[in-house]
Amino acid sequence: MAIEGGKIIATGETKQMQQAYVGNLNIDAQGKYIYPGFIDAHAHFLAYGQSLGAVDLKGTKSWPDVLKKLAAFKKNKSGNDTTWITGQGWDQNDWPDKRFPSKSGLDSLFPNNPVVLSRIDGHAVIANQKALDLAGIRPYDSIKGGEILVQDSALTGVLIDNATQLVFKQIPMPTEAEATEALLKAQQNCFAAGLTSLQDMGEDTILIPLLDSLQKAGSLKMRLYVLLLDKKANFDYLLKKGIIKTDYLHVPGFKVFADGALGSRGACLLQPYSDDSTSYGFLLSSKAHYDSVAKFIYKHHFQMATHAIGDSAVRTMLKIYAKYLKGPNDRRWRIEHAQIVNPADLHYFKDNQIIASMQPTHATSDMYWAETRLGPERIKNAYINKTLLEQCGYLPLGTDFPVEDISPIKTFYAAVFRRDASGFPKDGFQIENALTRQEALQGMTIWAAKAAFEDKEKGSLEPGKFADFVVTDKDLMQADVEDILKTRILMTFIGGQKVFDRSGRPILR
Amino acid sequence: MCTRRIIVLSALCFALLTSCHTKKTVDLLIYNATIYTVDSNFLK
Repeated sequence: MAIEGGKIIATGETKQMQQAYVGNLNIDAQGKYIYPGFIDAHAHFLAYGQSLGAVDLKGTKSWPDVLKKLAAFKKNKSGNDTTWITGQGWDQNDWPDKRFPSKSGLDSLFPNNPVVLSRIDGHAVIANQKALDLAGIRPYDSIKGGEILVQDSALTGVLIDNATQLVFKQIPMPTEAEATEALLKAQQNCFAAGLTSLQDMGEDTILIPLLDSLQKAGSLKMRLYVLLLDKKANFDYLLKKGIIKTDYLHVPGFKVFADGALGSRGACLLQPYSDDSTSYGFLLSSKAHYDSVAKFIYKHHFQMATHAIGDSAVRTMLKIYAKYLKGPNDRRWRIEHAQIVNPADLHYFKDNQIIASMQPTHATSDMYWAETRLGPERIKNAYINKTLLEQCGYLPLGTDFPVEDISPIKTFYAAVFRRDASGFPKDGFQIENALTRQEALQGMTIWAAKAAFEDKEKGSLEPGKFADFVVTDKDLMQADVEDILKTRILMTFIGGQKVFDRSGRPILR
Repeated sequence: MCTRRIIVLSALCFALLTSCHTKKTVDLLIYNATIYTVDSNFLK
């Protein structure tokens, strides 16, 4: 492969290429494997960077285990430190006691620090009394599109969906230096994972000038597609500025949240939860609101992506999309997650060329408890990657990190083999919805690019496209299933510049 | 004899010059790899 000015000018057989080109830098790849740079089609870049400085609660075995981790964290803080403590990654579905925890242990451990700990999906938190006091939350307060849990007339500290914002609003915004540090740390991990482009699903306009300046200064090399959150200030900003597009930054539209998540019973279902007959979940805003947002976005030729997990939320948004898209179109509107889709609604994807943006590791993380939420019949409508691919003809893949691990290799493995990182289950979870290896690779490259209107410039290694690529030590298209997760990213290139090199190894130095 | 040597040398120089002129210098050449281009034909 020959690269000039950051772009690919030719690919071909080694002998022919060496006869035709000589590089200022020549790299013998020693028979290794090259793919287009991986694109994560659904991620939260800044949140991931910030999570690297938070207490990591992923993999905790119980609520006492969470408290134990926090007690260890407290030992490293000075006694008069009263700053916020944040953590994330707990999941009560993985614990012996699957009920939501209660904050009493947090209150005694941290009487003076406000504490907020996000559930794995980011759609629920547990906060201590100090944090609840700062947010002004009292028992039996209510909020549309959210829940404030109470037991025996007392707050449990658990807040769901829109209620979480009451606490998050109290946390001081990161300074420019803090945000920069978080972004650059996140970037380094992403490069090591082989990611060269991210689709950041929901930021505020305040971040855009910082991203642009860091990219122009050359410190932020990650290519970013950013959708702005559903807020008036964000709509006003993009309407005034127009779609932002540089080689590194693309801001073409908006990310909307229709509902919450299945794990915290915030996903909006057509029928009640199988493990709670009183609950259907809920929409985060009114249907009229979503309709008005879609109308605005359509009118001004922006792109729309909506988080919709429950089959009711998916149906609501598909109907609203169809109302404006009116059949074949090239607006590339997206449903993010589309986790449970009633079979009667599948046609909306095909009829209106609506993109389902999927996260294969969600299926293999949720498979342990999703059937409890949905029951044995409805689970068949969940995580239907193959079925959704057949509707639109392409399927962008991502991770939703920091909800899931950032690794595209894990995405590939989960998409193709429908197993989690422990190799469970051996026959694959609902294996009929597995993708082929080729489809999974396309989902992490060219289809992800297409879902962002970027397929003319990236997503494949062809003349004229950005020289964004990764070198791996295993052949993802041929390797034994047991070897896929052992795949190492050897080098990552963006625009022909090496941004990651697995140094100290006897290959490709 | 002398003429023949000149012809051989000229041919060598020509070959060298030709090869230099036909090789385009690029920023980076990466070779000896299996490349999955993920183009429309999913070529390797």
